[in-house]
Amino acid sequence: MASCADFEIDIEKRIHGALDEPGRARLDEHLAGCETCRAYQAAAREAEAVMSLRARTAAATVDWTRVERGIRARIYGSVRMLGAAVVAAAYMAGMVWLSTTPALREARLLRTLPAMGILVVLVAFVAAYSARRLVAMADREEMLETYRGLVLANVQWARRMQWATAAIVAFLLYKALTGRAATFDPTVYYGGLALPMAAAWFYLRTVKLPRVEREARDLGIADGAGR
Amino acid sequence: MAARLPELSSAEEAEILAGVRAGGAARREASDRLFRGLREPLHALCMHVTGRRADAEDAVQEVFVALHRALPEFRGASRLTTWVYRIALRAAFRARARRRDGEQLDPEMPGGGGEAEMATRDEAIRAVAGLARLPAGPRAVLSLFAVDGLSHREIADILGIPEGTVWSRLHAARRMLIQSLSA
Repeated sequence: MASCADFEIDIEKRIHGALDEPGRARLDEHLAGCETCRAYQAAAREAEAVMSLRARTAAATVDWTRVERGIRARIYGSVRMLGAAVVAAAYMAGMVWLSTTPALREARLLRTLPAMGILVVLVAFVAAYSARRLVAMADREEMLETYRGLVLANVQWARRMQWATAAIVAFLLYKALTGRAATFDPTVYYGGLALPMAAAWFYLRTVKLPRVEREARDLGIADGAGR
Repeated sequence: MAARLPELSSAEEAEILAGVRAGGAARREASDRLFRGLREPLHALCMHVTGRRADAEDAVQEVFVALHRALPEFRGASRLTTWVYRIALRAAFRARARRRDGEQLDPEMPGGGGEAEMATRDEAIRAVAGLARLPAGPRAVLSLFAVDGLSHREIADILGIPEGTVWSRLHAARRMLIQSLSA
């Protein structure tokens, strides 16, 4: 004996054109005597109609040329990110230059070159990864489960990075305030490095972490709620 | 039921993939065809999932940027459109997460200024707010079913679940929506 829940599924199948003729006849017979299922059918039809109309109205007003322009601009986003990496490397070079005594500037700048190279390579790696993260595991089986796993990993990563950057900022500020060196000015050098790290911490704390936590809550991940 | 949105057949998908892999002008033409063929259904899906026009446009842009980069390496484990819709769902979830808690959904809805139109509009605003209160899973199922042109088999493929399960998920989501609207 079919229950109302079974008939409600049949209502959905009929709305979406997947109910065969005998199924439709059985459903009509049931609907004639069941007010609850009639109410369900009316609510389902109304919701479908509202959603369809809303999407169509929205799509009719989209300026697709502007959307295409936006896509093209974003495609070149990675190039801009690499440009930012070069600016960051130049910033580091500037810190070294300004904090070092004139006689030792060139030698110290040469010693810092590998670190700058690593910075540029790291940013290039992040830019390449960021361009592809949306399609990562897009063809895995259970889509929402896979996605939940990714978001949970993201939340944990953002939380760890938040504390890691805070620790680095504290260390750099301590060195800037207490450091002693004969060949360079620790206040300028460590203070200069602390600034971008503090900006990274601020971004993680106020933008990245709240965003991934909202995403986690939306996906029903309990871990997304607290810190 | 409203007219179906444009969609891509398997043959068209194969042509697009061949064009993308050929590179140069053929790639540009194939990308353009993919954009024109899927932009409206993808926008509809993102509109339902995010609840806001600006977020939907943002998500659609993200999808096509991701496709531009990853399409040449598409392995064909599923249909191209299935893969694209999976990416679109993720992009829409992310676009919605970028919106801070408490930010308004689109206030404007279709309809004129008459009494009947205003009643329809109020009902529509209530329905959209009810949908926005649902968790991501049920919202995704309802949103996919609301995209004209997607069959239940395609939706099952997109979500990576058996065909039979897709109906029980839709039923559970609809019950949640009805409950959310009556709360």
